[in-house]
Amino acid sequence: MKKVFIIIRREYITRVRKRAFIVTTLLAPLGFLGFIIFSFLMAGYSSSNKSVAVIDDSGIFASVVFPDAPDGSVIFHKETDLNKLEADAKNIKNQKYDAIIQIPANYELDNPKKININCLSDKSMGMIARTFINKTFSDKIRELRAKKLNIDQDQLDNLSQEIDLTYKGLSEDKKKSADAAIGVAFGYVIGMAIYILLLIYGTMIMRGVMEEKSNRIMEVLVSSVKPVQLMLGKIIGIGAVGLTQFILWILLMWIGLFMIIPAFGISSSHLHTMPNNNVQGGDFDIDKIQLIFASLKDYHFAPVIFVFIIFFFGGFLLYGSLFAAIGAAGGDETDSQSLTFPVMLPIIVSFTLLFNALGQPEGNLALWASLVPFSSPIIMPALMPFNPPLWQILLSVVFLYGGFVLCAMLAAKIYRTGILMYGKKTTFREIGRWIFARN
Amino acid sequence: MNQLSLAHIEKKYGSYEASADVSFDIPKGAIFGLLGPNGAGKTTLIRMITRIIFPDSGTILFSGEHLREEHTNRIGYMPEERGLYKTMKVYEHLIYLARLKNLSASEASNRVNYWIDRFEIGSWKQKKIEELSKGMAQKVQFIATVIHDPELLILDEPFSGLDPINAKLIEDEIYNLKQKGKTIIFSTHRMEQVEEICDQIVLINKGHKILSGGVAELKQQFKENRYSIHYDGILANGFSSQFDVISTHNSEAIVQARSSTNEILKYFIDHDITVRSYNEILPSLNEIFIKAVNDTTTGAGITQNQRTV
Repeated sequence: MKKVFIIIRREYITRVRKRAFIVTTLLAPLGFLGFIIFSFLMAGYSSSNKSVAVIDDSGIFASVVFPDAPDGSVIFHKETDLNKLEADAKNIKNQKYDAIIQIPANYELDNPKKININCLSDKSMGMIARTFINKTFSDKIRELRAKKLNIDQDQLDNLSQEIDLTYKGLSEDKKKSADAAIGVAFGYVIGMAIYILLLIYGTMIMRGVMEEKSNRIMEVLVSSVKPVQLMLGKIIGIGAVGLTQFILWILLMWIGLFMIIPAFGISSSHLHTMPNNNVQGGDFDIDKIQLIFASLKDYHFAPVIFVFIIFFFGGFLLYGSLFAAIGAAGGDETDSQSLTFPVMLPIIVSFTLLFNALGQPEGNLALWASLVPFSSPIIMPALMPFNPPLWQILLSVVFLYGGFVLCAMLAAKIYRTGILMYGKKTTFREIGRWIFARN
Repeated sequence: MNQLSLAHIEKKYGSYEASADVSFDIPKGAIFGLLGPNGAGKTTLIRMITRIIFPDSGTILFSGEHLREEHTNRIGYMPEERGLYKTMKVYEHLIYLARLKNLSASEASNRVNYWIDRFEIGSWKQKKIEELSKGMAQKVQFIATVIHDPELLILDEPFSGLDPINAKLIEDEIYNLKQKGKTIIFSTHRMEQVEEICDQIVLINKGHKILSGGVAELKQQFKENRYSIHYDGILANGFSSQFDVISTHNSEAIVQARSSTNEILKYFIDHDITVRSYNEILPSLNEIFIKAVNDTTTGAGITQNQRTV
């Protein structure tokens, strides 16, 4: 056991001390932060200002003022002469407008879907602009129709209020359940983080073993320590490096999110301009984002991070032993690449299961995926925001670590033979023979 | 007292016999040559002695005890295919390897410093392994092998890649360790080194032991009663029935004796040929090696049959 610690120490220290480690540890959160700040800043200078001409042949919208988009991405202009505009449009350079919206003369306000309003454009109208234009027209048509029905603006606003149900747990231990949207987002981030860490550090183990093999230091080492000690030392040592990096990232991002961003004068209300934050895929209002932001602040991270660490480490041990076995079996890069696939596959499959599991966090798929050792390292921590029952977590831990012991025993057999095997292309059949060999 | 006793060691890889009923003893304090052509099964034997792999059957005794895990801390092994972590520094690398041999941190540091001083490589202490030349790395490797003061040293081709000066340094160190009562197993193809260094040898071919014993005895055993004679005068043809002349060149004759050596000398004296020197030609280990290997290769079928009877 003492020797394993010495090996862990070496694996850990030599890697943590490397410049590459320090640089990626510091730069990744900085890069992430930079990206966020960049998006905030870019949102202010939206480059795609679309000038949209509105030609109202029906006269229905004569008194209507179309409001421009708040970020200036869409600006409406009322025009009257379509023919002139169309003549201009033939000469691309002369195009005054990016798009022309034409309301046909026979447009019926009472039956708004009978005849379509056309939007003519040679340029591609982005999703955001389209959504904004659709919404503006829907709103205006609704207002006009309301006016016709003698409903005033206040009454209309009152009518068209959207409501959000407040989802709360029934029993005491479920009270802390986060909002589903936050849960999905948070779970997804966790699952993603484990997925990436497993792949990065798994292949790091594989390369480490291959290096020892091609360096021929293996021969020197195995006369001092048992191969299985060497393997465990390497896996745990590199796992600790991954964990260190992850914890540092969390800390740095924490500092970034709650200290640096406010210090830059970017309040959470800026968030609505940030692209790609559609947690639910629906439209967002600022209040909701602020709510999420606030609830993230109040969120109980400690148990989630604790479970994360347990599952990351367990999953890492499990996959790490398999990666180590592959590193030992494969002689060189190309050799290992074909051997890597069967180990990569369950990681990738687990990641694809993550979406479904988060969609139905209490469904059967989520349950089974959180128990099977190959997928549980990704699924179980991701389900944590939904407060899964304790037995599920404990059973999953037992299965995961039990699975690790089995995998390690299997891997040790491959490892022991593989590390001293040179110049021979390793096949799966060969590996099978090593597993069943007596010594 | 034997440092190591191997008895009826068998090891198979599938149908391939890497070690077939190999038995030999290595006395304490001996420099023991483990010889054999490529693929003979030397490395397999060494790996079984260092407990990297295990024999299918047979026993290995270390200082009279069954070979156990703890014994590996008393063995120093320098493999033929050897390497170090390229990005580690010399000092920390040696400490690491010493610690893996169960030395405490302070003990490891003392020993490493002792050897660094002894080999006068203090200036490389903080150099990375990748900055060292091959010879320098070899020295570091040698230190790593002896750092825990092992009773039994196994050196597989220790001189490969060394210039004559460094080779001499290592050779002196080997004698020095022998002086201290250490046992050394020396594995090589270079027979002149074996002849120079080893007291005893075992010769392995295709997993079988084909020869073992003291170097001097083996030479006696394999000698062909040949003599080299330097003379002044003319050696006529068609002479004595006491010996055959195999070759003559620049007043040196190689002769094959049929009876006692005195009869040969008598012939020279009788014929008034001045003998300036007279030496018995003992076979070199190289010759013994080739002869023994060839004999077993052609006679392999017979030994196989004898085994099954």
